[in-house]
Amino acid sequence: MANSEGRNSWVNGSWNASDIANAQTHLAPFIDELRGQAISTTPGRTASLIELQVAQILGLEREETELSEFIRTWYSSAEFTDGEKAIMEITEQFVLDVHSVTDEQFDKLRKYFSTPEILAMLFHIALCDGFGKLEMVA
Amino acid sequence: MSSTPRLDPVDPTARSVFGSILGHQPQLATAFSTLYAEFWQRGELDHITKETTRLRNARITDCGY
Repeated sequence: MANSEGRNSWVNGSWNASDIANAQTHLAPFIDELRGQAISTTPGRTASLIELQVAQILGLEREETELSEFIRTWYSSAEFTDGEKAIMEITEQFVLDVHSVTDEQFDKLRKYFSTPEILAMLFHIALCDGFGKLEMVA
Repeated sequence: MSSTPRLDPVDPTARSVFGSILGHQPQLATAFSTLYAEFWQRGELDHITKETTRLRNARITDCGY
């Protein structure tokens, strides 16, 4: 996907809406709206956890924060609640091999979150995964 | 993985997006539907290319659509 100058607009930095705007102007505001809705409907700080975790798994460059350090060792870290660990487990599996997400992992998620919350978090994972992979290859 | 949703739809008898699992988050469903409609109705790519990539994606992810 090339912009109006005929060059790829994602090559020199991480993806953001203005890059998309250069390449596909008509979709940019709708993508922003969708991502904003996904973020605003996820519970607590799970949106940030998901976004940082996906970026780490994909090897995307992001600003280092204290939270990103904890996420590297999320499984054994006392920083996260059991609910947060449940969504981080699914996030990891989703990005690495979506076919291997199990019913047991999903049941664990149900213990801590409502159906609307689960839907919002899964949607956010899918968007971070999709746009993160786009950032990797484009 | 199965193409059977793990989350229950809002209305099992409805055929619309808003009766599906997306109906649990109506604003998210609206934003998704609007983007999806824009993607299909406008843009640089022709419909054959869009549909071919959609089908290929559905096969790989074991999506029922």
